[in-house]
Amino acid sequence: MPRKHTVKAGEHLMRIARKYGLPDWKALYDAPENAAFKQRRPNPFVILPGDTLHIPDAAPAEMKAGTGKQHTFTLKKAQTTLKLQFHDDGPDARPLARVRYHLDIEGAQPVEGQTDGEGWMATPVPMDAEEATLTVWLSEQESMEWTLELSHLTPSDDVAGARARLNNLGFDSGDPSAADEPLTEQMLRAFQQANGLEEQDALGPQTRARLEREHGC
Amino acid sequence: MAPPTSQSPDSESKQKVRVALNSANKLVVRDVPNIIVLVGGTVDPGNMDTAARSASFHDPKLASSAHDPNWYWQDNRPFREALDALRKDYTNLHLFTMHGWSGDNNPDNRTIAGRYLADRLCGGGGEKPYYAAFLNREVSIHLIGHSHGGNVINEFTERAATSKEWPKKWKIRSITYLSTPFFTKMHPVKTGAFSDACHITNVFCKYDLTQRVVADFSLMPLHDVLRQKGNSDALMKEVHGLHFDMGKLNAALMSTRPVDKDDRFWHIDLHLLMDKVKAEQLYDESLTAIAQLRKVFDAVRGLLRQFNTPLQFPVATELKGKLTHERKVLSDSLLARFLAELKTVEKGIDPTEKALRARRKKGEYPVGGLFDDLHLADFLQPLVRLIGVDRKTLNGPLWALIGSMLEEQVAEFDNTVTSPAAQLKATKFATAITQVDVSKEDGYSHRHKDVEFGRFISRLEGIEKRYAVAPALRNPRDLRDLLFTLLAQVEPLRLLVQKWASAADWAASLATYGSKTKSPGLRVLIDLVNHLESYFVIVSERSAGGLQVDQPKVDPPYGSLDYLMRVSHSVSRQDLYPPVKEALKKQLDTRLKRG
Repeated sequence: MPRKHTVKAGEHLMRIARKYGLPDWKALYDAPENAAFKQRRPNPFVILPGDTLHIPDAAPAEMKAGTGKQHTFTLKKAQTTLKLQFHDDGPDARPLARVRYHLDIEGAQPVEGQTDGEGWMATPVPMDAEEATLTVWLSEQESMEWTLELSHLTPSDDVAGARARLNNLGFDSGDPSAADEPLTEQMLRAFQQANGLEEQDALGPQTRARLEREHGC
Repeated sequence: MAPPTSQSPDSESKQKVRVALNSANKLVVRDVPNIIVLVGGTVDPGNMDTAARSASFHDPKLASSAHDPNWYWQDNRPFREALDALRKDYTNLHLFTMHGWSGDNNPDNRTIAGRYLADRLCGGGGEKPYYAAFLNREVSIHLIGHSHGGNVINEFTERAATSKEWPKKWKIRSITYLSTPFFTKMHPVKTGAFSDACHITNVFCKYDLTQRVVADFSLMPLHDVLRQKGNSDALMKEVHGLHFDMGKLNAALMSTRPVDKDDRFWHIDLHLLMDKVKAEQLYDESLTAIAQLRKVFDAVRGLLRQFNTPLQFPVATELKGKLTHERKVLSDSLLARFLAELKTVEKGIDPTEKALRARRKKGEYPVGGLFDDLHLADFLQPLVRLIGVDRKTLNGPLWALIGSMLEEQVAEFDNTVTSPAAQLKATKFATAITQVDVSKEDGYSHRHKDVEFGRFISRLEGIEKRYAVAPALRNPRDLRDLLFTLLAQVEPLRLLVQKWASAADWAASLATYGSKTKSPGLRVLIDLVNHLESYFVIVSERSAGGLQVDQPKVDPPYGSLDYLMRVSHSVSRQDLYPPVKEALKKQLDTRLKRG
């Protein structure tokens, strides 16, 4: 029987699909009843709490197996990937290439690694993980630490989503969930100014597109 | 090198960020933005347009062809390059070169310029914030100001300390004063927006006459006065029109012949008469010269009246609606005094002109009559009186006028010092000052004139000290003393006046002879010689013994007033000297770039 799901903070389509026993997120995303959702949320991993989804009936997975034999079925552990690119702050900002990082993810083994030549870190994280602690060493003596709220980034047309992106890009907008409209507008205007945008609305389509482009999603 | 700011997990609160999975996320690694702000001083003499002067800054976003080629720091290439190199060494170091102000030398303009700058950076007072992206972040401000730019900085500190719009997280982490004259009363620095770690670097050159003396007198803006070219051109035209053909005088004198004026036989009445035609030419030439001289007087009167007409000063961008822009350079009462003196001098021509005309009408030209007709004593006496000076009071008709005119151009007198120490004495930053003496970078320091310069400057500073009393108690003699002390160092004048040394002897002989004669011409001559002697005494007493050095030849010459006021004043901004650079680097709390 078809059901509805209202998205909660920290959820993404993979988690929701698994919750309802769907084979993967595409079964949810591509369901004809979710066409409007799909159009509204072009990135299935950036959705908004309060969004509603049609949950199609889960067809049980069918496997053909001969009798009288022993079969091994491997259940793939559902994982997602965390992709971050570190950048310097400042007028001639460059990617932070070849810096050491350490990632502590709840319910998983810590991950040690080094960013690539373009400052990228890409590491698998458990699908259900909602928080991680990341440490990056800028030098042997100096490190930075972040608490990552995984899958909490909302779409850019959501004020909190815009603020979170602004924060990540160095335009301090404060807590994305806190109500501070003047500050948000101020930072959006600063972002527009820095990117040569002249748009009447602080969070107009050009600004949103540029925000997504600069942030990466 | 500044130690990197440690942002270890133990000492800093973790930053919380929201990211998406299975998507690219960019994360900027925070680093405290450090902003170096350049603030120019008063001098921008080549740029007379106030609107242009307000816009006289460097906008890095504009093509170089679109820039004001005369912006304040344009000629300080090593200094700018050193700052730019520093900027490239650090991750989040910004250089703000966009501050232009009228540069007009008065307290109002400096105050407004400082406020405007603070507002412009953070968006206070209705301005668009230049660093809007940093409004909610910790920011370290580094202010570098040359000359009165340092006083503009002080007004900036006042604005930052008191404005509700100034972000509380923005702190002034360093100030570098370059040749700033620090006033006793005006433009005090305020430390309310200072970082606890704020450090002050004070760069000075001991030969800097502007910082040490000239800046005390905040002279009113004169750019529009200098624009009154039409009037001064008219005067110069009339002056150039002054002409006397000496050939006509020679020809007339050479034509002198004895003429017997007694027709009777055996009676002789010889008169030495000039040839009529030649004498007429001479008298006509003299009358033409007098007419031309009157035109010169008219032109001087025109110029004086122009200075008395309210001049409109185009208001600089930052002053629009905030400052009156009309001023009389010469007050009504002073104009009246000038005109009265001029009239007295001009009146000296009247007897000459009258006599010349009478002779011309009579048509007979005895050679002896020529000298009577010139009425030299009447002609010169008012002029000699005008230039007279009392060697004790330093007063005289002309000097009283010049002194008064100077007083009217001084917006405010406030004695200056070369260090901010007094202003910071009662603050916790009193011990956070580094003094950097760059005198050795001044070419004049190698000219072995320290004794003479010391003599000169201590005399000037003594005068300033005496003048630094309540306005009502000020003695105008001090202002004249200061003026004569400056003039006494002007090399051509100093050398000229030395030649008048023997005037004392002439005066004594002439006085002895003069007591036996009633000749008014001789009296005038005695007065003139006495005046020359007074000038000799005044200049000698004030001469430091020759400050100027003409070899090697430089323009302006080493040790000339122009050199000491402009070149020595700018030594501090020619380069970011190592101690200045090191002091600045110590204050930067942005990270050095990796690799």
